[in-house]
Amino acid sequence: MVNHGALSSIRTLEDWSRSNSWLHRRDPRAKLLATLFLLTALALMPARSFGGIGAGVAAAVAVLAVACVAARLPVLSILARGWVVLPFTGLFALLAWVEGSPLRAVSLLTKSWLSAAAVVLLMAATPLERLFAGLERMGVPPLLVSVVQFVWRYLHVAFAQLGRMQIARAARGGEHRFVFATSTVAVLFASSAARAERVHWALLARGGEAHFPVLDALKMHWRDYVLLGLAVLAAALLVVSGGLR
Amino acid sequence: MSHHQPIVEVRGLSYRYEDGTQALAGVDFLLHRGERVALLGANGSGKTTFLLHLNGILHGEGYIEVSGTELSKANLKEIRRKIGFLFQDPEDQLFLPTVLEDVAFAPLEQGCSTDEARERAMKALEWAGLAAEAHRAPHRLSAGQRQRAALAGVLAAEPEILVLDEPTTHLDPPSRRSLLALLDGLSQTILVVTHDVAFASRLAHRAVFFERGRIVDDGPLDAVVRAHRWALD
Repeated sequence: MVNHGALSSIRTLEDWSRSNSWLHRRDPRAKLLATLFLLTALALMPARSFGGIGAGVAAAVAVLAVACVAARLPVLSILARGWVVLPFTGLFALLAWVEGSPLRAVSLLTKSWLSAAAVVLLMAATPLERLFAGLERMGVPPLLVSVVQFVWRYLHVAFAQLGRMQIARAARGGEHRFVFATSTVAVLFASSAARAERVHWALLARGGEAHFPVLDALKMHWRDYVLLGLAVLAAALLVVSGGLR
Repeated sequence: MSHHQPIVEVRGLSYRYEDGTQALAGVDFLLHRGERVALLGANGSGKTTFLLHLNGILHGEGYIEVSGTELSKANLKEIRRKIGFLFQDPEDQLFLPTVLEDVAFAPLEQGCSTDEARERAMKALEWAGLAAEAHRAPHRLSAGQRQRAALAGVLAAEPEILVLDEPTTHLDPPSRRSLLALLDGLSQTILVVTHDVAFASRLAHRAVFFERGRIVDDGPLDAVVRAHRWALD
């Protein structure tokens, strides 16, 4: 099944997020901010030479590897999952290369890969409900957080339905791939709309409105501030390394 | 409220869907405290539409009273607190990232503190045999576990009436038995829509039969099933 790889990858992330390590125990707001610092540093990292890019990449990989060790997560698997963005950024990198800017192309590819790996690490080191609680406490509109929560929850249900439809197609001969793809989109859209109505009914029946109350109490400890300090240092290291020739 | 006063009273309930389909056409119904009633009838006969009126999710014409309070927009929250609704597909009902968060949803919405909500949720999960699954995502559970988690979420709200919409649709026989055993131990008044006559006969003594948006029969379950030839054999 085409979609089993994506599903099992998501499930692995969920399993990792339930571990208990120094990084897992940190407040989700500290981890969100630390990730934001790293993403900003990666975006600001200069790309004036291949040597500079190489030094910047080495520094970023080292920072992510240290964080993975602190989270007791497999470094290579986390870094490998960052390549999920390649189909999207690869196209732009190719265009930059064709335009005669190989430096920009390589910079785009490496920065997007490392940024995605940082986000994967954040998700692997933070249970989803705590991540959502952190986002909400940081001022992200509750409605937006609820929408993301719904999308995440029902992505699994839609994938499961897609899997059943693929089996049905295979059982009926498995030809006409294009017709199947287009009709699948239509059926998934229609059934998602019907499910959305039923989920709304369930939400109302259970006394809810558009916002989910948070069960987890969040509290920043001195160790969370240590993480923030380390993240600032790591971000500075990335920017400086990227400027090397 | 006395034992003999109805906990649910419905008079002259009618409802037409936007496409013009007359789903309910003058339903009268009484449910007494402690009763367990099965709603039988063909697909599209109006059973689920009827249930969705009891907690004000759909609004038809007619009179509905729940636990001595007439249903109106002003008291929807109070009525929904009294009626626990278990939907046919637990996927529709389990919308939060973990089982514990989901089961604690209604207590938190009722204004409980996080500690109290967590305690009520854990108690409901222990009752459902799912305490070990509290921190798992709903999509990681089996169909039977999902149904029990959804039921735990309903019971954590401590409702007076349980409304179950085809609760055995996605369940294998062991999961059905397990659900039946859980329901059997409850003190709540129960209203269940089901095509599963064996399940209904183990749970309920009274049945009403829906046909084209009307209740056409009401009486002992065995008699209603026989009168409408509703069993397989």
